Amino acid sequence: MNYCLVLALLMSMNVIAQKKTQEELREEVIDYSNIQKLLKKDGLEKNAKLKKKIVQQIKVEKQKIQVEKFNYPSKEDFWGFASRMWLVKNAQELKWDVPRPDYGIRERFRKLLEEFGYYNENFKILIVDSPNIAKLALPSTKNESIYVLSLPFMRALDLSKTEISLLLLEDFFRLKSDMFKSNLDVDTSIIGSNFAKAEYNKAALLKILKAYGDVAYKKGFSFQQQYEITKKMDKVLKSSPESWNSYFKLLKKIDQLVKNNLMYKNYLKIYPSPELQIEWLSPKKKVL
Amino acid sequence: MSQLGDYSIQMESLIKFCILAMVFSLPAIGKEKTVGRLYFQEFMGHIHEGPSDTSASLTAIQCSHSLNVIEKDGVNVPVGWMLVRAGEDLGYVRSKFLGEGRPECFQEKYPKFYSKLNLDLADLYYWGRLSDHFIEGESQAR
Repeated sequence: MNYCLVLALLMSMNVIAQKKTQEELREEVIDYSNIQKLLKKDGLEKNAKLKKKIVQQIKVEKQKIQVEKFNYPSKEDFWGFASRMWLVKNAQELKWDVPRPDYGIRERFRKLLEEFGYYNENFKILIVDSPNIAKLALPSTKNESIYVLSLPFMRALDLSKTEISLLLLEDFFRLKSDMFKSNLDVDTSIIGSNFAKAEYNKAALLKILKAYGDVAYKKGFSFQQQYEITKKMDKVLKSSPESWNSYFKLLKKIDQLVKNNLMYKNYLKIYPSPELQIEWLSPKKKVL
Repeated sequence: MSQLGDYSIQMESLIKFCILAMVFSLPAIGKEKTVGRLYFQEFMGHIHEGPSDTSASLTAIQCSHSLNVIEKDGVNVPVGWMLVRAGEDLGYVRSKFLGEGRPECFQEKYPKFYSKLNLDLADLYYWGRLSDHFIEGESQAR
């Protein structure tokens, strides 16, 4: 009996010895090579890498968005903004916040643009109650232009809506030739740039707005530019003799006004010169 | 005593008058109904007291401002205008300045540049007025 008990004890000890201890099992669980194999088998490592890549991409995008917040307006957005800003800052001087007449300019100018094949052109006309600026076109987006028209100037010339539209058409060509922008003669490098890592350049914007005023009140356009515009008008209007005649008569009216009305003596500084424009349009005399 | 009697008669007629005035003024007050919600599409603008570009401004609004479109009994809104409510202000905005979709605003596109402008109240006022004063048009191929 005793022998039997000893034998059973020895056998059970042998079985225990064959089984793995808890520590051994735990060690097996933390066997990294096993995990790696398992992860690879399940594609989890691949997923983890993908997730890491996505997280990295999100970080980059977030950073990009953060930097973009510091953008100066792009070329497409800047000019419309700057032109409006200039009008806002000069509201009292230009006196545009007054009841305005329509004169049917919208319809006539639209038809004139369409007549000469200028389609999908947006225009915004601002009537000002000041003789300081007779007329002016300000740049905006690619297919938008902003026009300033003086009510006293229109009244002094007793302009018809066709004549007003021809004045606008002249300015439309000036804008299309980028004459206003090129005459600003100011550093415009802030346009489309970024100030995330630099100081906000307020001075640059103020200089551009000041340059707007210089062109509008002092510098205006050169003789060469006026010649180009007059020739452009001549070329375009020739297909419509009625409009061409109206334009010619309009220039004569302006010429008389600037010569006789002191209030508009500044006009010649901005748009030289109606007299020359008439000459450029007039058929050349044949020398016999 | 007779003075007191006169006083009570005066008071009575005054109360009667007040009740009558209230009864007759009820239809004029009119019911207000919100019929939609639209977003202001321009950079800046105004809610006008009346349906006219030159009408006084009740308040200035900015691009993507959400406005409740209102229908009110006894109020005929002219074509091209909408009666809107923004907070406590009930006034008029030109329909062409309103849209169903949230616009991409300059203020949101260039937030830091815009905040650095430090536009004062006069600037905001005039900027809003600018949209009212523009004579707008577009040439189209026919």
